[in-house]
Parts: sequence; C-alpha cells; structure tokens
Amino acid sequence: MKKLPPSLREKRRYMAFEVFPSMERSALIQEILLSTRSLYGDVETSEIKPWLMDFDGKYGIIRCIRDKTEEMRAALASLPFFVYVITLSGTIKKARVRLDEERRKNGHLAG
Amino acid sequence: MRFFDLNIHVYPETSIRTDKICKLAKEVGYFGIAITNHSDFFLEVYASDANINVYKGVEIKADNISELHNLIKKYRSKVDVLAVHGSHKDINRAAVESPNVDFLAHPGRLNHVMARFASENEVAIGFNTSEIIKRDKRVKKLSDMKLNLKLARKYNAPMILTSCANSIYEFRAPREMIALARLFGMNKSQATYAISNTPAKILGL
Repeated sequence: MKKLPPSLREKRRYMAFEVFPSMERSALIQEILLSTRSLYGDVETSEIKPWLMDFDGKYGIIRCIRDKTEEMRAALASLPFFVYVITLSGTIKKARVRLDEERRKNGHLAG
Repeated sequence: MRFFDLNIHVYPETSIRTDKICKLAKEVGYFGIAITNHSDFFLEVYASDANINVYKGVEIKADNISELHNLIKKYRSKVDVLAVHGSHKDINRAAVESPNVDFLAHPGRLNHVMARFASENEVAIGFNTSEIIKRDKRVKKLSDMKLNLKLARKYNAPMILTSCANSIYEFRAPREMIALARLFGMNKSQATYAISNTPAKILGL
C-alpha cells in the first residue's frame, strides 16, 4: 500500500519513561492498556493511540498522538507502580539518545 | 519553578524509607518535600541528607473537634507544615475555621460554607493524587474533587496538590502530578500554582 504523504500522516510524540519495580514487557503493555481504557474509555484511547516502542524492563519509550501527550502522561501516571516520564520528544531518535544519557547517569533511579 | 510535595507518609507508618524518598524526589525534580505522618506516628527527627529540603510536618487525625483543637495547639510550634486529615464534615469544618491549619488533606466533599472559611483563613484545600491512582473509588473521588475545585475557584480558596503517598509506588514527579490534576478539571497553570506557589507560601518561602 502507498504510504501517506507527510502532511497527511498523524503527528506523533515519543515519551521516554522509567518504571519501578522492573517488569516484563507484556505485563507493562497490559497495564498501560488497562489504565488508559479504564481512565478514558475505548473512544479516547483510540485517539491517544498508545504504542510501546522500546522496553527493557525498566526504561522504555511510548508513542502517542501529538495533541494527546497530556492524556498519555496522565494515563502513565495512573499506573499502580512508580512511573517517571524522563522526556517528551518529537523523534524516536532523540528520545533514545536522552534515554541512554539517563541510563548512563544512574544505572538505577528508584532501586 | 520550585516544586513541593507536602504530604508524604514514611516509615514506621508506611513502608517508605525517608532516605529513599528524598533521593527519588530530588531526581524527579522536587525542590522540597514534607514528611507528614499522621499524628499517632509523628516523627521528631529524621535524617535528611540527599541535598533536598525536607520539612517537618504532621497530618492531624482527630475523632472529634476538641481533640483536633488540642492537637493543633500541641503541634503548631513543632512543625513547618500542619495538615488535617479530612474525613468527617465536622472535622473539615473545624479545620477550615482554624487559621493555624496549613491545609486540609483529602477532605472528601466540601460545601460552600467550608470553602468560604478556607478562603478567609487561608487554609489550602488539598487535592490528593494517590486517590486517583487507586482504581477502586476513582469515580467518586474525581467527582468530589471536581466539586471542591469549583467551590475553591468561586470563593478564591487556596488549593494544594499533594501525592499523599503511602507507598513509593504512589509517588509521582511534578509533571505527572499536573497531568493527573487535569483529570478533575484543573488547568495547567492552576495545577502548577497548586504544586509550587501555594506550598511555598505555606512554608513562608
């Protein structure tokens, strides 16, 4: 299928975050979906479009729609464990760079 | 911008270790925190090393009004932050009528009279994010907070945003607190004010 031209594509944002305690990728996905859906319902969740890009058990990057970043942040903040959004970025590359800096700075934050 | 969280319960009341929460608070961007254990677990001293400002506080838990007044008298000179554990409507009313109280934590449902007194006596109305994180009573808590927010705006009562963390998992960074405050209708500037300026005023900074 032909790719959409850039002007018609959805604008996205990438959030680098940290969780504590560390957990499995699948468990985190379950929790994020559960939290977003119980907070906003299916309609709004479909507009936020949360999508977990990277996750290593402690640090991760989540993608969402550009105009819904505060909603995404609230959904992450209402998870039943410690979550800290490290940075919000327009490109996944910059989010990864920032995440690597954070990893190097303090191998562990909450532990 | 200087951010504060003025309602944290630590060991022995909960499992939070003071040194750990100080370190975490510093790293996620707080300027200062207050340890406010309930009055039956009040701590006289605690170590504060992690180059963050730790303020001494108490959250008074009283069963009746005379006990509340006695406890306010007892703790006022000892602490920087004096909160009242909001619960029953009589306790809430007595708390907002006393200018010695800094803020009323998780008051449940207020009414216009209490909001007016809160405004007169500069008792901040507490909004507590840990109640939003817990899913069991979230719907009721959010609608109570929405009502309190409406009253506080109408009567121009000060508002304060706190975590009221009972475990380290309920603790949140300032930006996340602001995002959670949006859920019950605070806008960004109000929420920022409630987590920075109102606490700074309470602490006299």
